[in-house]
Amino acid sequence: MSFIQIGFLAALAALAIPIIVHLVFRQRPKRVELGTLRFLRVVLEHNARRRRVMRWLLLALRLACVALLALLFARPYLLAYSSSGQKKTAVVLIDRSASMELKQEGVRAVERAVASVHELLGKAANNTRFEIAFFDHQVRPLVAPQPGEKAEGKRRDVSVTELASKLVAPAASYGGTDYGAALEWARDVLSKAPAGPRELHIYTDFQQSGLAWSEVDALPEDVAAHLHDLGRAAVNNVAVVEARVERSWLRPDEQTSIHVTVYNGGPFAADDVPIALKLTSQSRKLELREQVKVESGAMESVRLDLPPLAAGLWQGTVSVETEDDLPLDNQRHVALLASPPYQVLLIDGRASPSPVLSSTYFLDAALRLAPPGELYSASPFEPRQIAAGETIPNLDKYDVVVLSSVGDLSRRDADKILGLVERGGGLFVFCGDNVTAEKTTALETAGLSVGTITGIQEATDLPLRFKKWDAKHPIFAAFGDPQLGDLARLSFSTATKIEPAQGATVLAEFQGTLSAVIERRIGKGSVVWFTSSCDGAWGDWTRSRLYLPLVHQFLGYQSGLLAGGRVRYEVLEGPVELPADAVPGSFENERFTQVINSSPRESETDRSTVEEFVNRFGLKPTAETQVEVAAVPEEQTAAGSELIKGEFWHWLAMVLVAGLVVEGLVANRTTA
Amino acid sequence: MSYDPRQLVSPAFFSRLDNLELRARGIVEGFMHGLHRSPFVGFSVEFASHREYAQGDDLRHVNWKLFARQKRLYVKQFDAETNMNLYLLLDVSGSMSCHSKGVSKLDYGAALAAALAHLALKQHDAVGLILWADEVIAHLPPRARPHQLNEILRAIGNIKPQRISNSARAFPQAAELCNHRGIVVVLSDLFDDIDAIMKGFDRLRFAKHEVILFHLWDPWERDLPLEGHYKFHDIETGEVLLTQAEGIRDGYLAEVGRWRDEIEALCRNRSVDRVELTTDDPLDQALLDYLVRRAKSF
Repeated sequence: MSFIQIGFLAALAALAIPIIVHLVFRQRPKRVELGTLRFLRVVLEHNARRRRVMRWLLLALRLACVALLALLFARPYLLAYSSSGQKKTAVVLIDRSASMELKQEGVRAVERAVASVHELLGKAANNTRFEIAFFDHQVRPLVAPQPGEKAEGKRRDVSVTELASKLVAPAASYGGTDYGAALEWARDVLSKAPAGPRELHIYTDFQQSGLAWSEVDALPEDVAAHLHDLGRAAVNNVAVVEARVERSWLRPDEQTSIHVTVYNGGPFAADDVPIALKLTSQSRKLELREQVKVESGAMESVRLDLPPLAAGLWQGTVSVETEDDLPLDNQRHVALLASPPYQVLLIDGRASPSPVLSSTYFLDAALRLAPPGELYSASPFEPRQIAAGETIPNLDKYDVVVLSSVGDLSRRDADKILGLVERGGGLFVFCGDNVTAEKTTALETAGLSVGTITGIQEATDLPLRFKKWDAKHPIFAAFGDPQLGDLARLSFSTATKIEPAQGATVLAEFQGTLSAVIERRIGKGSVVWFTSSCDGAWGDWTRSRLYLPLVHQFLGYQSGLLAGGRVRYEVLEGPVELPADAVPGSFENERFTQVINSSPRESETDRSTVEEFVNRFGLKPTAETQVEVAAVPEEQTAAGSELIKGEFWHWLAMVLVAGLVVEGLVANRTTA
Repeated sequence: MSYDPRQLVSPAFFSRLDNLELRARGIVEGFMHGLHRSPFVGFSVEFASHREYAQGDDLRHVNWKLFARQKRLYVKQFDAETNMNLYLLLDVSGSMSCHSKGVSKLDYGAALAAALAHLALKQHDAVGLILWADEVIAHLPPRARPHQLNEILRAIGNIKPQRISNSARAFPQAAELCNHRGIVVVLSDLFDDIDAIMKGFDRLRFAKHEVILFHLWDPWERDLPLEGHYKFHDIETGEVLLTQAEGIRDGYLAEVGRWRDEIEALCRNRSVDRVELTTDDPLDQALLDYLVRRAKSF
């Protein structure tokens, strides 16, 4: 048992009042003389035991009445109104996906959810530990775990007051709905919760598209699920669910198209939905308009052909100019970059007048080709060759520097390259005859080495082959399926033996634990060493069909192409690596432009039934399932005036009244 | 306001007593003519005259000789004799000083004793007075002299109730002093050992005395009409009891009632005429009621 108004317990000091009254008044009896006290004595002796009991009973009743009065004002409530009395854990998941922006009576669904959770907190028993999280495509705990809590699997108890103070509806929601992630988080929290009743409250609109994400392990058996429905039955929504640019990074004065898909989620067909594309690049503007008719529940695509774009970054939106219930999905952000491809500087340590004899011949040729399978025929790289010993030009315009069998690099050049790497560029080093410990001191001094060169390993009976590689690394992720290209088939005759330095990562190895690919992160960029050569001197892999894709992967990784290129599109759904507060828009970074759009799934406002939801995630629903959450009242209830679940002051009031009645009866029948 | 003993000698008081006798006689005679005997007439009588028989007259008093001569029925009338002794045993113990309504039981008893003495002396009966508490404190032997009343009043006026009652000791002494057969009127609250009191009554009855008990109560003693927290003092013993009056009243009344019933039964067994009076009863009215009741019994 605990109390809401603990300060009123000070009134228990009033317990002294009956005692004081008794002590004070017992000193003031009226004096009466009688001829004999024999009758009184008989009566008092006869009732002595009864009177003593009654006196104590009377005192106890009076003290109890005073105590009850004090307790009454202190508003006691049961720590646990369940019979077990154990600490209860309640996990609250609040859907803050984009669809929760739908308004009902002028109030957003997410606001209604937050108000309802406030009500839940207000009524909660004191022994209830709450874990609250907003979720869309990510789970955002209201109180982030403190350092160390996550590792220990323990969470500090956060007071209801603190939670209530932090629980504020987000200003706007853009994310997709991923019930799976949210329930996975809830399952983890509930599994680690201390013994006792466990509850799960989900405040959501039951958006059907949210069901289709990852599989979720079933919640513990004893978890009672409370589902709170905030959805709307009928939604009039026309949305741009896709604005796909055929080539978001193109060459200046090239032409491309944008494929726009419009979805009509409303109950009626939408005729002549106006679509507008608005792009700007510095002072230049481009605007295209189109109209489309979309049937109810259907999607229609429109292709917007852009004129040749001048060099520069073109940013803007594709939008449907209509009014509906969910305005935030009426537009999607687009960005196009008209610029040259990645600039790659190839420094050849074995330059030769005959291009065939130089060590970068095959590399240069491969980089100038588009990788197989790409619609666009042009290569994303524009290599430039210089011979080792030549002055390295200004590297500001370069994205990657490739050293091929380069030794004796000057310290100044090494520092230039270091500067490039620290700014986010890449250095790729192919070994060769010139790459020895003695000849790479400048690189080592500049911190561009990945380890200690201990010599050269030549193949004897069998060629050197990739024994293992990090399939999750972006370089090798494309080769995860051997049918697409088995890296183990590449053969090398010689490789430089490098003992990886601390901080360096071996991405691939030849047989015999001979490092093949070693990476080291420096600043914003990285240095990658390949311990064999990029030409035919140390192997015949240049003739393999994997040569071109592998070197494209090598340099694509270092240039940022594998991370998305110059223009990267992200959708706020699924496990994206975006800041938690990311919002739709087009944002310029140092080496790329990021375009963020809300999840197109959120435009599909179809709702699942509670049964579907429960069956999908194996929940154990309660009688309170699908409680309709009312709109936020205009005037919030005054803090502290609402009744907390488990309060029993009204019972105390009844006991007090009964106690007063009994006290009156006992007092009239009790003699001193 | 305390009771003024001078009332005992006030002309108004005795005037009321004279009227009392007349009123008693009037009431009784008007009520049951022919059977009347004055309360103090008939205890010892002497022939006075004849009168014509009336229905209801005792046939024992018919003068048959006269009937033989006159052929008419005449009954003999008697005058009271003066050789009847009236002993007034007034309890002067401490408990008699209880005076919740201003008049103590002792004052009331004294007034009652004076009244009885007055009435008896008027009939030429000898009246004696014995004041007793733990023993006989004062004694006036019965005399029929006119100034005997003054002696009695003087003795009563000097009473200072301070002693503890001791019936076991006082009653034998008093009985010794009542050496001639007569009427013994005991005026007491009987707040003593009831067995001792009854033994005293037995002794008096054994001596052929007619015993009349005026059982005196203070209203608070009898009814305890109090509410609140009280410290009760026993006047005789000084004992103190602290209690809530209303809480014990029922038990108190029951106990008092049980005691009164016991006294009543014991007195009835001994043919002791018991008259219960409280100090707020009007003295003359109480005495009148008793005299009427007694007259009817003859």
